[in-house]
Amino acid sequence: MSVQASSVVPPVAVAVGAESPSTLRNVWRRLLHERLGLLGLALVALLLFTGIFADWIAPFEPNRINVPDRMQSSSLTHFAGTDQMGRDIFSRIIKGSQIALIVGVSSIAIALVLGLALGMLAGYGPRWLDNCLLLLFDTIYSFPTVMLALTVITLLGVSLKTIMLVVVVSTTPVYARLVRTSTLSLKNSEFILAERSLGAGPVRVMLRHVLPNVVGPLLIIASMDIPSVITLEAGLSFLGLGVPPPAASWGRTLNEGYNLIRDAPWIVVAAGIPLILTTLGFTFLGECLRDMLDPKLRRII
Amino acid sequence: MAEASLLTPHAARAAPAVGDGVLLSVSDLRVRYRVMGPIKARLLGIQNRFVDAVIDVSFDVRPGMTFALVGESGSGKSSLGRAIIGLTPIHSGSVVFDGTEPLKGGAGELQAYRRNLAMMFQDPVASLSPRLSVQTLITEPFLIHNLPERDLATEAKRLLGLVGLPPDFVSRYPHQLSGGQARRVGVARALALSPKLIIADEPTAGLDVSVQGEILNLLARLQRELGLTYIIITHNLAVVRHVSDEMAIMYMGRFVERGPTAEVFRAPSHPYTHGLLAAQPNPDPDKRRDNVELQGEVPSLTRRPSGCEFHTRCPHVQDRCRHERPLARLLADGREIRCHFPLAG
Amino acid sequence: MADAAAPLLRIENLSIDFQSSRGPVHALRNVSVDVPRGSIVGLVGESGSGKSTLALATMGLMQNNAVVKGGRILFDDRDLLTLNAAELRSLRGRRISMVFQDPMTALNPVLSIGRQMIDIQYRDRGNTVDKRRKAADLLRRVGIPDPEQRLGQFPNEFSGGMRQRIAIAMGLMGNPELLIADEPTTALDVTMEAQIVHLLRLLRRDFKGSILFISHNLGLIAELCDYVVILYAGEVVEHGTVQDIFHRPRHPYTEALLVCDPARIEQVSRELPTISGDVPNLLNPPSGCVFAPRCPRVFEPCRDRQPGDTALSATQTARCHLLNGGAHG
Repeated sequence: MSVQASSVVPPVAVAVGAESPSTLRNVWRRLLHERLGLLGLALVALLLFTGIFADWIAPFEPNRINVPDRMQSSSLTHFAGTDQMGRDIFSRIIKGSQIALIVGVSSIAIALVLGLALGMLAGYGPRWLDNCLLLLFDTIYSFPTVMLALTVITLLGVSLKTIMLVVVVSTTPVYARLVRTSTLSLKNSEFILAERSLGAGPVRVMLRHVLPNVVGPLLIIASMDIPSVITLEAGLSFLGLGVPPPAASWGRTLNEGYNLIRDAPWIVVAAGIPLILTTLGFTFLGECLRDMLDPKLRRII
Repeated sequence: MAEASLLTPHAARAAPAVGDGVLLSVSDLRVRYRVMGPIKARLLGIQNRFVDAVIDVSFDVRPGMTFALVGESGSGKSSLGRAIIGLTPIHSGSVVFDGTEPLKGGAGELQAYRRNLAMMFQDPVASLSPRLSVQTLITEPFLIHNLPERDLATEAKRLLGLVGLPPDFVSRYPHQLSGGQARRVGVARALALSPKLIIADEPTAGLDVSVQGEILNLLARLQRELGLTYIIITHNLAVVRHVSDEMAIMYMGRFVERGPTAEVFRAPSHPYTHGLLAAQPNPDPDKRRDNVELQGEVPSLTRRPSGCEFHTRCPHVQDRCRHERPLARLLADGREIRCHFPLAG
Repeated sequence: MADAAAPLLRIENLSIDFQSSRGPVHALRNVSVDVPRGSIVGLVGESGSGKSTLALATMGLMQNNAVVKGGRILFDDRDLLTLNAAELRSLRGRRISMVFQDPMTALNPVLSIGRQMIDIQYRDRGNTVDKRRKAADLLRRVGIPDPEQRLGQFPNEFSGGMRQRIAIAMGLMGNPELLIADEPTTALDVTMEAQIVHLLRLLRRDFKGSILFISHNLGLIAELCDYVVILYAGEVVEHGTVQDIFHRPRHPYTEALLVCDPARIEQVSRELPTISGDVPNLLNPPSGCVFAPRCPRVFEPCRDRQPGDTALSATQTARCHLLNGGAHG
């Protein structure tokens, strides 16, 4: 089929600046102009900051029991009050951001890397590898997340590592499938063929040419998954299956606060607010990134 | 009427001297694609699960020559180009380049082959990796072939100079290039390792008529200056007539006619060639044609006609054509043709 | 155009801008085109000429960011630009039809051909059987064998050339007075292209309407058209009968276009003529003549003043300073 017309790039389109791959620099520049994105970025930055410097910021030792001061509502010394053991809620919340960061950001980051690697292998590699990996992905994918979590926790006991494992195992197949689809569609692009014709081997093609073009949508989805994971941990903690006490995860604080809701309602509020803010922050950021990368993705992601 | 001050001077240049010896020799090449797996085929009861895109193709390319592969969609010309450079596996037959058979050797031989042979693709912008700068794109061959001692920035500027693009283009990205500029970048990339042979797949596709000469003139100049050999894959007969020394017309994967371009245009022997030439619209309103010579469409590659595969559309079809497949034979003027009843010259 | 009767379509001084993030793109500037009744008018333009914009404007199918800055599109003396959506819809498919460039996406892939061809007759009275028969008739007329069988098939069972024939059949269903064909053969092989052009010639004898045939292929224009309009970077630089344009071109762009066509170059040459430079950026078109930056015969007034139209004969007009004594800006 002759391709004359479809290849014509009208100079007008070029002059107007065809909207297409944004380099890191201009993504950053545009982000700074979008208010919601900026807000999202600020919230995420806040989380990162508190998470990293939690031990220095927290006014009190999060696990320090101080029974005489128990069940106090918010005051100047205890911004968010104290719980039934006199522990400063505010400090616990700050410590909780650290756990959220580890559980949320690290495990998603690991899933991202694994998903990219496996997805590209499945998409670009030989057919038998693709079939095997697909089988693996679909098997894991068909397990409901919570059930998977419960199973693993039952087998390995409750701990931070267990939760991270659950997150990585349940999220990697999703990312891998996405990457695989993008890779498959890119595999026969002319620029990939051109690189192969130059003698580029599969590793170079995957790392240099496939990866930069598939990572974009993945980053967006990952950024929107982080709050889901944090909420998952919160949910598990609420069920008593999250990070074991006396760890100060938000979920655990919510759990304890729930039991004391009549007498110390501030606890639930204090634990709920950062959860909401984090979710909002990542969502705003992710949507903003998505719109900047390719507004057409709005329907898909 | 038209002055030529800004128009490129239209001087008829003789074709460059073509050397002796053979640079590329293709023999009995067959390229086969798998349409479905064996299990599915068995379940559906389908006999033919393969499609032959290229069948029994043989031709030689001499150094300094421009060889044109002409055909419509489904003719197999692009598949042939890709098979020669090793992007598509060959089912049978051989490709001999400079005395060796690189496609049957090991990875090392294939890599060396890729230094001597380069390909330019149809869609100029789509054949450039979208997130890489022009400099990275045109100097990547040096990295692929482990030639780190070259200074990439210098090489990039040198290559851009060869194709007539200003050196500041090194920092541009593919989406910032017009079609013509992207094509030039493609040429620059192809020239990076100083290849001997360049396969150009539809070099004028998508270009306006008023500017397609630019890329063709560039290719011609590079051929003269660097002693390049070209295989041009195209469906544009008007261009073929001007830029090629020898041409082959493909139909459903086979060469139906092959020979010196001037001769083929002067007196086509195969009815398909004749029909193809007749189908080219003539930009002269006084020379309108009353009828169309070639009716119908190319049959599907999965349901090939018997005998001569062109018989379903041939205006001169006879009984023999329906049953007996014509073998390639040489005519008096050195042309090769596959036809039981070639047209008189 | 030398025609006593009023033209079927008269585009008068049409100017269209596209709003973009960098400002307005002046895609069409003061474009005037006449399509007489029963004629085939060829609109020749390369990339950036605005030919598709013109076609879409006539059909009322422009993008959201298109703004009409001036002019009228008179179809049978009614200005199409003043019609509302309902009125435009009633015209489309019945009095004005369009065939698009890409046959692969012109048809709905999930409905059978028959379903689509019957659906678009929704405004006509009559039962399904009649509509089906009409659809089969038209398919036969455009050269599709076994039309009754094929009505039940889906677009993916047809090749590109066939799909374009079907698209033409659908365009002709309502017996339109004007058929706009926007590069209908560009995506097809040359043998199929020749067949489609031949088909259009035969059909025009039967359906008695006018065709606005848009293309960048001069050969096709010469084959098919009675009148030719040359569009460059959003302006009409020359128009006339097909004989005028091909045998007596007067605008330097038209001349250059003809000279550059490799099919017209008799002597085989490795060095082909081109027009150097690029199409101007329509964010900021040249202040004088739009072709001045690339014109081989540019002289003093060209860069500052826009040339007016000079009538060279009863049929031919061109816009160039070389042709008239005084130009108006």
